[in-house]
Amino acid sequence: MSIAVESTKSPEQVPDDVILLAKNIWKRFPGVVALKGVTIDVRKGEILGLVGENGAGKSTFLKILYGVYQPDEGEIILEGKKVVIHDPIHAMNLGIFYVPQEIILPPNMSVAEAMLLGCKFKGVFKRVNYKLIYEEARKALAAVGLEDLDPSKLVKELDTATRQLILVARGLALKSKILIFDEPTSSLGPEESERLLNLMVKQKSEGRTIIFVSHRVEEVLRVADRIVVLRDGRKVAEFDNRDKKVSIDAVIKAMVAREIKEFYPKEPVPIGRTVLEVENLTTTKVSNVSFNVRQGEILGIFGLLGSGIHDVARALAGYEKIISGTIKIDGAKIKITKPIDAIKNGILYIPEDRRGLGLIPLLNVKENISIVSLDLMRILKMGLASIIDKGKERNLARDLIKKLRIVPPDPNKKVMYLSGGNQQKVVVSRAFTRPVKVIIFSEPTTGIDVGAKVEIRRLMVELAKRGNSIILVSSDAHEICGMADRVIVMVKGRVVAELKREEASPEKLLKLAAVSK
Amino acid sequence: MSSASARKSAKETIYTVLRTPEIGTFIGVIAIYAIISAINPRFISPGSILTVIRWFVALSLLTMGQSMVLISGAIDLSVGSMASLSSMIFAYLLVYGGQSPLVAFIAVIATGLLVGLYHGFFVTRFSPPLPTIVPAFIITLGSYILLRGIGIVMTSGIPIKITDREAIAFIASDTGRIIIFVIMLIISLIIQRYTLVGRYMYAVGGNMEAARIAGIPIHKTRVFAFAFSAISASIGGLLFAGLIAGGYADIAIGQELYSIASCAIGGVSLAGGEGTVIGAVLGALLISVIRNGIVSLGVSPYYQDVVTAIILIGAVTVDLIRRTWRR
Repeated sequence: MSIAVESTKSPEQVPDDVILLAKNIWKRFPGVVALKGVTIDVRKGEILGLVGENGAGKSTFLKILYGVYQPDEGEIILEGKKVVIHDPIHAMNLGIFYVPQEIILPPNMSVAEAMLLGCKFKGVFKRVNYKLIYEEARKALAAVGLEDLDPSKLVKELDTATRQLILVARGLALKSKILIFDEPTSSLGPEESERLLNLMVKQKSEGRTIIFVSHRVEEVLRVADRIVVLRDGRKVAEFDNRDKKVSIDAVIKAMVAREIKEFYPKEPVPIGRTVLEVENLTTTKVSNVSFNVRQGEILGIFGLLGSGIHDVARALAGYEKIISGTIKIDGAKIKITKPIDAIKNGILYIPEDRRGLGLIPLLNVKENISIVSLDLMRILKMGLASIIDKGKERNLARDLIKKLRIVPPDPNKKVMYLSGGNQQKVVVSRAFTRPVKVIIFSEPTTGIDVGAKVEIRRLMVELAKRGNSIILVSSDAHEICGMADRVIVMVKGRVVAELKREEASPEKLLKLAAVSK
Repeated sequence: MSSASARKSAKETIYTVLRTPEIGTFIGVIAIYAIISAINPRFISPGSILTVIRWFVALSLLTMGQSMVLISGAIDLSVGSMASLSSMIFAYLLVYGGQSPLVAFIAVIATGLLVGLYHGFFVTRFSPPLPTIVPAFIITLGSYILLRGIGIVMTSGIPIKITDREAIAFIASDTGRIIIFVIMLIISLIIQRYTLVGRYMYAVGGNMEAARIAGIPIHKTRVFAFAFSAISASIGGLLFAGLIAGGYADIAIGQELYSIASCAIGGVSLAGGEGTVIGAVLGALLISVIRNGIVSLGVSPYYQDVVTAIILIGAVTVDLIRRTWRR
């Protein structure tokens, strides 16, 4: 199925119908090589579908096209000319328009103003000509099927789907030649998704080129003329889909291409008594969430963007304010107002934002491991002035580095120099530094290499085997189905379903999670 | 090929030195001292060295506290005013209050503690949703003006002369200064390297949200840093009082910037979370050498501020480069 990387051609040999050619693109991040020599051509007036699993490199590739990142190697040829895309504004001026996964528009601006942000106006101090702007805006809105929308309405009054369409309209107003859609349907309901797909086909018929990125393969199959599959930073397959006959199985096989079993090293663990009980947990983001977790069990909490799954984790970790609800550990009611309460009660939180919330990058590996358990490593106990037992700390770090195979095996290495996977191992290793009962893994495998993903999941299983209760919070349906014994599905801050392992499938979860209301 | 690899290893060496700012600063001190001495050999005489050291130890006291605050991710602009005020309180109690040096000393420390707690309390509890360093900036800027103002009010701006040499024998002697300096340096070093609160300061300054999630008492840690800084500055004020044998509400004004510059030069990142008190103190030494050296070189003392400003900007640039190269 996989094809060899095309031999490099000089710019002159680029065929006329190729509007954009990204040649041999490499991009490395600390910890992960996101793109490993990807060559993709985009042909004039087609819809190119770009698919791949989480972390396959899709978003990175798009960000390079859009000038957010610069490639470490490789070149981009736009309409036969080699270009260096400095930044998003430059990309826009070149006619490349990006519609991001999460739509961020200034909430207090009117639709028209937000739409025409970045459009060229002459002179900095020139008066804004609202009449002209509204006229332009109406024209562009009509093109995306929003003729009825008042351009003076404020952005914050609109729903996600409309905001997205506004952004598309902005792309049209800017006379963009290439429109890039990055997971445009991930936060849309089925009806809204349908509308967006139709819009894409319509834009294509008007001669625009579209790059459509999604992990919802069915959607891509329906509209794309050509499908490129990325996996682990490489282009692994390309399908001609002009007659829309490519099978979903073939595409998914190319996307995954590995035994599910080894990807998800799930092992049966005897499930014991109930450890954590959550009743009617309510925060500003979630309402009346109830569930329980038992010893040795992995409970999956699944939901899409904005479903509040991460907020449940944060509330249990004491990082987000709990408005009401009861939390019991081993039958005893506990109060969590700040993170230390959670830790003292045996709840350890492994946050989804590893760099922002999990690690202290300037401290070394040893210090990052021991940070949650320094209260157990004191020689002199004098409150804040207590002396840290550095010997104990060092030995513990050494043991865990060995046990979790953290590379490089140097407890004094600053954690910022570690790869993403190893950084995540450092965070997970904290679970071994003190007696814990419940470990909350929030998106534990995003942004790390495939090998590290498997290792992190293996650690999850090991912690379950040791008698811990695990909560796996993830928006990756495959991961949830691969690892969890039981799944609860959340939509808009509420629990909508609970499934046993046997009942759960990625398709089912996605269907449950995507239903609005 | 070999030349390329040699170049690479030379580059690596430079990187390593720059990554260990203490070494770089130390080399800088020696080099600048040597250069100035080569031009004016009198700069290396015991008398000149003593002059450098006298101002250096006083500045160091402010720098030690500053390093704690900077490491914890904040900034303390009030250390110069704090030191000035403490020289005033000390002199006032001795001269007009008729108190013993010990009582005056305790009063100075208590004032420092109070001011530090006030800073810590306001920065942690009344912190508006601003970038982390901003509340500290505003609160201590307020104190910069306020503490100096109180010092001026005490005697309508007139310096207080301490005539009783016996009473200030210790803080005005070189041995006394150096003993105070060494004791404070050791205390600072122990706090930063071996204590819980020391580790917490690095964690809070390095990534406050991650520290919060790890269950670290962030408020207490930050309050501690401010309290330590104000106390350390008030002890610094005693050394300034010893230097001029009196109290003066402007004695250490401007020193807060030198203390920040010292930290930046010595590798205490202005972004928080890294550096050591040793580096900071070496930075203070470098600044003291340059400031005194300029006079030795026959440059008008009016240029001191210009030169110091250049050093400060240079130090911030070095701090920036250091962090950029790490990527």
